[in-house]
Amino acid sequence: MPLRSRLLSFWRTLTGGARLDADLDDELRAHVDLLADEKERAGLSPSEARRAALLEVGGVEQVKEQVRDVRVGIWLDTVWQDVRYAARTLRKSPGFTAIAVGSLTLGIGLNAAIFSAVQAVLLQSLPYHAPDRIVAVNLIYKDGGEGGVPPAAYLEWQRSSRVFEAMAAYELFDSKAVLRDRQATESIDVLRVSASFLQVLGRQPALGRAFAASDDVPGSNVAILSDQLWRRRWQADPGVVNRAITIDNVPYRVIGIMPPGFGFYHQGGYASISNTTEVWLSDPFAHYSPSNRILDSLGAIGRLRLGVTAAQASAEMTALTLAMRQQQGLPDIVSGVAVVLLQEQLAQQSRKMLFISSALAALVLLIAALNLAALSLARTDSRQSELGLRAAVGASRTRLIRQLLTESAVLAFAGGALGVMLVAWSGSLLKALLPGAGTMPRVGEAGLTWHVLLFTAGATLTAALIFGMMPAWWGSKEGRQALGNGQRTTDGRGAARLRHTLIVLQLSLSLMVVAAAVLLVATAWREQHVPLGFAPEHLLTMNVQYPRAAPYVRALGVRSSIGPTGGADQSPWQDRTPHYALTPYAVSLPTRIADRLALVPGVHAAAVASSMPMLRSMGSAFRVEGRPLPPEEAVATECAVTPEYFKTLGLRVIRGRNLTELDAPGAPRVLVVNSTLARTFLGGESNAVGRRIVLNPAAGTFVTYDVVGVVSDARFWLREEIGPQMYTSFSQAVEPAYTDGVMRWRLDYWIAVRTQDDAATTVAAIVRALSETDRGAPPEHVEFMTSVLARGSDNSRGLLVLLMGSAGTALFLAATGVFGVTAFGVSQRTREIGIRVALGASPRHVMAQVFGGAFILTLAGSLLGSMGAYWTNRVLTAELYQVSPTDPRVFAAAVAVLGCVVFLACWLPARRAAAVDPVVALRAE
Amino acid sequence: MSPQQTNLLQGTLDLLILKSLNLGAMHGLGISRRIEQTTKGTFQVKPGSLFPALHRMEQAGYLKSSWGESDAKRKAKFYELTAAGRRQLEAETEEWQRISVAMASALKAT
Repeated sequence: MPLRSRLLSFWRTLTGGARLDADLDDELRAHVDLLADEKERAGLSPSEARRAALLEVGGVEQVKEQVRDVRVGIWLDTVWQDVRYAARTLRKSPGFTAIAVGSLTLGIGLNAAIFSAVQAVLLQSLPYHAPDRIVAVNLIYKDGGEGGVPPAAYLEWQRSSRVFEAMAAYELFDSKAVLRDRQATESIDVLRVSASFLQVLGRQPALGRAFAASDDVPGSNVAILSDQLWRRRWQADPGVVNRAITIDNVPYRVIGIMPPGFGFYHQGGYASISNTTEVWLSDPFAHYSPSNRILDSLGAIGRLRLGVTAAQASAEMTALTLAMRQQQGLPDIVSGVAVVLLQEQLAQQSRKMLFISSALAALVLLIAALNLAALSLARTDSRQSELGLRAAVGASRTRLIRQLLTESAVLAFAGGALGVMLVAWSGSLLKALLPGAGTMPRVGEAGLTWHVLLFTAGATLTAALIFGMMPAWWGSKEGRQALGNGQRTTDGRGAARLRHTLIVLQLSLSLMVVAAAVLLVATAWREQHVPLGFAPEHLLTMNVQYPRAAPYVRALGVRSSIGPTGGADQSPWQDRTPHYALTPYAVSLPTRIADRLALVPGVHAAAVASSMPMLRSMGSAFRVEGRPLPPEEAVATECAVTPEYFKTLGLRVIRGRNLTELDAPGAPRVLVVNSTLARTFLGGESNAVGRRIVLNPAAGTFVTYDVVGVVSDARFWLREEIGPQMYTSFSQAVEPAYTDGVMRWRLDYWIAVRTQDDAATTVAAIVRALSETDRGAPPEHVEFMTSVLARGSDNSRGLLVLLMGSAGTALFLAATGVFGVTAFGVSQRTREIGIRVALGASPRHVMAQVFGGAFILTLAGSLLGSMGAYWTNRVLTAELYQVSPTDPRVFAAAVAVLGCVVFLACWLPARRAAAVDPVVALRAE
Repeated sequence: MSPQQTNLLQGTLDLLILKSLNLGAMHGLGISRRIEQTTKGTFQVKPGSLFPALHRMEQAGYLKSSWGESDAKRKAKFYELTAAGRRQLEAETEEWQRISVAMASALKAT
């Protein structure tokens, strides 16, 4: 068809619909007239002729509808007509519309929100130059773990590997430093990186210059600031470049400012993966000897040469490293090297939670769609007469299908639009919905990108097809038949079967969600009721980290490195092994802090410790003197404490004595063990005191301690069994023996204060007293233990919230679905019920029959759902605590909850059925 | 209703309409009767097929319509061929002949 006339016709259809229709009317009327004339001429009477003519035409309205259907662009007209009609119809049943739009909004909004995170965390590429060539290089250990790289290995890689265009290193631990000037002292996030760091990432400072190779030497002391710190602290003053700033009491020269939004995700010490670095410092070997062959103190990244794959790089690096190990006597704990895309590495830890959340979101949307399918099917059935009428006045079956589909589409579109708005309006929605979002790298970049909108459109369409298709197909069929029968049909068997199948499916999926929620609730309950060993009420905790500089630390100078040195080919780093010692000021600091805080009004006791339950634990290898060495070294949680620690936490000394001020440097080294250690390694609590334990604080150093007491067990982590624990005196723990060799410890203390109440004024007084004792570093993570416990693990707490929300939605939808379908069933069978009642059935019988029907549906749904949950629950295993994913009690509880909801949903329809008056019911027909 | 009448291909109907109108303007009933006549009653075109086809072809630009008076002094809508319609008739006639020759030889072959 020529384009011009096609467009013209399209335009005429759109603009002149009414005129065209009137013209068609005239034309057909004329046709009938002409036909009647013809018949009259053949000898029929005028009225007979007319009748015959009409009969021959065979339904003027149908012909008109057929002509309209061939009009170009008529679909647009029809669609608009359908949409208006759908809106009118939906307005007439506000309950159904509200449930439909509400559940779709929730379902689609949830999917959109979680997909936005999937897009940001897994799919979106990193904001670096050619990010598909940037890789992380990790050592693989023989125990299967992966970790950072000893400096010696990194330097060897840099010299010998040929797969990288460039390699860079950054320091894995020590991400906190103190920035101090005349205005203020604050704790900031720093990252020590090698000069090639920015080159590997392919990014440049916005102002000033990048690190140069000449900066890659000890003592260069140059710094690059983040845009955020530069604006916050220096009000974006470009004059900061080349100025000196003081970090950890050492002057650094600022050489550049990074552009806004630049960040690098890395494991920051014991903290989670973050990209909050505020200052990049040169020299990643500042704290660790570059000749160190053991300590995995560096993170390594590289830019692959063009054409080299990560797998090829892994193979070459593994070969290189194993050869190097033999040559240079590296410890025999390394089994290979893993080279993975940086993006992959970052996505790795988030993948599972995102998968679980996406699956759950999809499940909720599927439940909503099935629910709507069942409800609209019932609705369509009760609209048979209307559909029949429409068919009678000329609507074709496709036209009816289209009309019914349009109704579904209008609902889905409303749900989708509102869902997107929900996501757009509430930016924090995602944080609340997505488990683990608090620690998930890059999740902050999630937003309403066009990918997300496209995905949402797809989800909306899928939902609309699921719940729109069946009613449309079925409704159009029933509608055509209804007129033919000319009587009100009773509940068609096929329709009922389809409806019940949908409800059973919906119930089974709901049961799966409910069962998962029950698992997480059981986990939370278990966690809340696990004995802690210490009293969490009114226990304030906080963290301080002091700079590794004066007045806390003094350098002992450079000494030869530990262990065998490498070959003749020595790097310029090889000779420099920094050694530090704590100053007497630092050694006495914990005790002074504890003493000072104990004097604050409202404080019962205060203590400083190197580990703190629920917050930090450090393991140390040990062996018991006089006992044969076990095949594996025994490991205990080691905690250096001030004397009041047990009193502050509420631990009981069971045998022997507490640690005291007398356990100072110079006095015999002593420690207190917990009950578990005494029972497992020392032959019971009563035999422990007097035994000796050997610790191995640094390579080649062994220190023997006398056990002087046994203390009750404290639970360090909710999800872990209580293991052996030992407590040493702070002043003995930090004596020089500990600081010899590689300095691994940090001036990083946890403070515990037992208070009278949780009043903010008490907290403020404590923080003030702390700063009076030492102004070196502000306290961080100031929090009461009860709130630390309430936070729980981010993953399982988030999952609990998400699952509870999903389960609530699923149950609500199950209730509406069961109610809708049962109520419809009762209204369809009013006549049958009337006959039953007339024949002597009691209201109780009638109700039992209604409940019985629902019971069978629930039973089928529960069986199917339990089978599904039996498989899917395993995904959650890692998030559970002391509850098995296939625990039959969990299934029983889930079925019980679902059963209650179904029972309540049936109550009203059952009552209505019981109240059917046989006389009225039978007369109505 | 003769059995032959049932399977009226869309293309066939279009061609028959074009051919009928080649003589001059005609109204719907006229076209219908003309087709009946020329095919010796093999094809009886019902209004349900005829009018959609007419409107479709008019939109395609092969036909144009105008209101006029019938022989019996009744108002009726008359259709006539446009230039494009004439060209289409030629093209379709040729096509149809090609197909019918091909079909005939195919059916004769053993």
